[in-house]
Amino acid sequence: MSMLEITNLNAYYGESHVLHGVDMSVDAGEVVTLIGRNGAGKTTLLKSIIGDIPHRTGSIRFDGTEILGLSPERICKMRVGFVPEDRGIFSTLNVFENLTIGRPNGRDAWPLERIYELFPVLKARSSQKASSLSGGEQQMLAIARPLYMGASFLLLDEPTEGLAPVIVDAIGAVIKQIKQAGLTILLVEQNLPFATELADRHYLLENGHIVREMTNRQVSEEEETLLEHLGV
Amino acid sequence: MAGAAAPAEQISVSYRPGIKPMAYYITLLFNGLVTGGFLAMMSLGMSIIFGMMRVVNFMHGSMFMLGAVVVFVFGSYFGLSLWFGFFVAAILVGLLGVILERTLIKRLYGLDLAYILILTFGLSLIVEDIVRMFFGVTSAPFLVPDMLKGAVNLGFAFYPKYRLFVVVVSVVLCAGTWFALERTRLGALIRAASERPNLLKCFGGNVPLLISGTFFFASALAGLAGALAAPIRNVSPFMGEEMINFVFAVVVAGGMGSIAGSVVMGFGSGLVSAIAAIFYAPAATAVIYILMLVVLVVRPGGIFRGIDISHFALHYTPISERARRLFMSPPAALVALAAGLVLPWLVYPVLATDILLWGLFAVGFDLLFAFGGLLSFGQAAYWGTSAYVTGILMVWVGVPMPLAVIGGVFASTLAGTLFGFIVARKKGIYFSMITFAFASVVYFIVNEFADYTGGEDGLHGVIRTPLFGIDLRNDHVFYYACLIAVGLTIALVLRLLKSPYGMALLGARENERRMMSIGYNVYGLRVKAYALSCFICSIAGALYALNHQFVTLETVAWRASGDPIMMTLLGGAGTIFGPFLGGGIVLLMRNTLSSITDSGSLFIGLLFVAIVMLFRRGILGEIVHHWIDRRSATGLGPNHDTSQPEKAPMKVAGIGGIADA
Repeated sequence: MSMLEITNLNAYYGESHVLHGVDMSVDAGEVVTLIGRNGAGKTTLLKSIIGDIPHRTGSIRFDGTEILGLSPERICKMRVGFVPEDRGIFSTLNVFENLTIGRPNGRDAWPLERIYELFPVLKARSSQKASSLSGGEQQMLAIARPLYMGASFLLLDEPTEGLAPVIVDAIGAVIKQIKQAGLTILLVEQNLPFATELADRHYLLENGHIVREMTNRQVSEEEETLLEHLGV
Repeated sequence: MAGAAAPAEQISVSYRPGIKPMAYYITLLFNGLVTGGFLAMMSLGMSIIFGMMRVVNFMHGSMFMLGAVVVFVFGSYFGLSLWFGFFVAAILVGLLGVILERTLIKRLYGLDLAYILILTFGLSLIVEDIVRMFFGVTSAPFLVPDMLKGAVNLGFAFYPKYRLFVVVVSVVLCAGTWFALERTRLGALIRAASERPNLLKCFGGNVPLLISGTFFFASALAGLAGALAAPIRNVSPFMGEEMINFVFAVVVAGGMGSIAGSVVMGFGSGLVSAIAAIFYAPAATAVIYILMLVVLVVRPGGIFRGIDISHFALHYTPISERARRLFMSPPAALVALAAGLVLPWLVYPVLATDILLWGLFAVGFDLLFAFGGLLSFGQAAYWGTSAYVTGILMVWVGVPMPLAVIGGVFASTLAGTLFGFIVARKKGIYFSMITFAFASVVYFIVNEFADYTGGEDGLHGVIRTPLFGIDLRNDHVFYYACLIAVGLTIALVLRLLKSPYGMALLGARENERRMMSIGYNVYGLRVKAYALSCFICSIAGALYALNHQFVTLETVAWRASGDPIMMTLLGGAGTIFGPFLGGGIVLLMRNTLSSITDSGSLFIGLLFVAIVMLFRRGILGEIVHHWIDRRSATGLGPNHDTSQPEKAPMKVAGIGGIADA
């Protein structure tokens, strides 16, 4: 059974219709990416799942439960973790406060030692203001946060955006380890090599519609056309 | 003209300052710390609420007053100890804060901040008026419990135990609050909720609970401050009003939303005020405002870095473009003129003139509000200054009436323009609070120079004289003379609003950045708008002095700043003639109510609440809005520009969200 099953999802900002009848699913343990150009609705799709978009119709089932209409707090308690595009760092909080802003929930919550093992920098800077971290460090913090809360399903919104290639590699390694730890990941990504290295499947989103479901091989073969399409 | 009776303490100081022992001054400084303690506790609560919800809570002063009243009632009627009173006052006032947030303020989140300011202003009027029905001014030194009676030897001087207790409690509470906010998990949650409430929800944070909890705490702190003040200050329905003035000044100078800023400025203001009192006792209050103005000139963001409010420009968009054009059309002016011509035959002429002049005053306010995007809480400064200068020129200098009016308008407009250079840099809530504080300074000056202004007795003997052979002493004739003056002023306003300047001003309200990027000097536009507004208010004020032939302290009081806001909102902001309609309704209501009940401000407060909660476009605005809506629904006009204007900020946020997607 799919862990996440979305059927005929429509989402709106005020009067503008952003997602049009999106159908997709993510199986447990999978890493699935959403690719699509800016404005296609990728972030909106993630925000719809986490419950941060008020106007939606259709169905979003998580672990068999309908979560469309639940508040973000409730969805969070169902162990859905969110890493927003801007990393969602609380700049007035220090690193430790940011990391522990959510409560550990369930047996799968990563203890601090395990988090610090994967992200040593977070330990070294734990009492520093989070806004003073570098972009890559902030991204690490943003990824570590849902792990601390025991998320079983991660929504990652462009974790490589604006980061140096070395850091991108480091983040790729982190995501791989998280996958190995058994987490399911829905990843928004424009960096196609990065995406194919991590993901099992891909959805291509265009103007709020899912236009194709693609395998790693298809993405690699059609990389040039896709890049042209994405405008990157 | 008797000046205000000076307290004995002050006389002894100013007579022989050199003789007093050191201990005397130290005692005064300690008194400054007591005042500072109250200010710090109040400002702290105000700042926390602002930091979390961007709410400027006018009710905060009323909560201070309620805390004192609760302690007084429990102590004197039920004979309960002050310790118990502290507890009850904090809980009850805290609960009031939660109820207020849950029932009213909550509905206004996402709308312009000005609505909440106006709502809480209205509520404070209601609360004060209700308390006034049951209480006069009392003092309650008997409340001090036995263990805090008497004085304690500090080594250099004896100091009342209770006052020392107040200083200790306020320091401990402020330090404790700082610690809780900066060093605990709860504090981290509150900071996170202040910064990005929606994001915190995605981490399971219960944001509504945090908001209500914060409201409870801040309100309880205000209630407790009031309770602490009860035994050493006069317990009166008006003590909150005095307090909120200072708190605004402290919070703005300390840096809005900065915890450290509020506490440091709170205690600092108390000390500065005490030091000023050593040299010149009446300056004790004014020095706090002067301190604020100095801070704002030297360091515009406040002493400590508060919350960046640059993106909190006023988004009040009361009526659609089509409706605005309708109000600016010649037929609208003709209808208004016709109404103006018949008015003195419907109500007695002095009242008719009042309606006309208050209406013009409100137009002066509305020019800044609906067209400049700036909510001034202190236009009474110009209405009053102009009235007083006109009166003083006539009574004390013997200047002929027409010259006195010109002098009054000129002096007041000049003062307004100069202040405009300072205040036009500010926006949103900052602008409102600074204008409010400036009006308080003007009130202080007028009250202080009672030898010339008459102080609380008012300035009498402003006698109207004939002009160009027309006998203005006749009330009907004077009305029509005012109608001409008001009509000319409105014609000027309409002309300016239609000019490129008016368009640019509207543009700056809609999108300041864009106007700047295409080369407009937005600051300059706002200075001019402020000066123009002061000019209009000054004309109305000078004529108002002539209408009543005397000037009262009421013309510079803060309520006189609140009235044009209400008249404008009631009639319809941005509708040019709405403020006159609103003025008419308010004055007629007050006139009728005053013969039935003495609870005028209770009704006025209720009206404020009703406007903000139910019809934000005002009477004219709503009528035209529905009229245009209906016409467009039947296909007679385009409907895209009549979409809910007050939701504009939300829409903008929505569009931003799409761009992120």
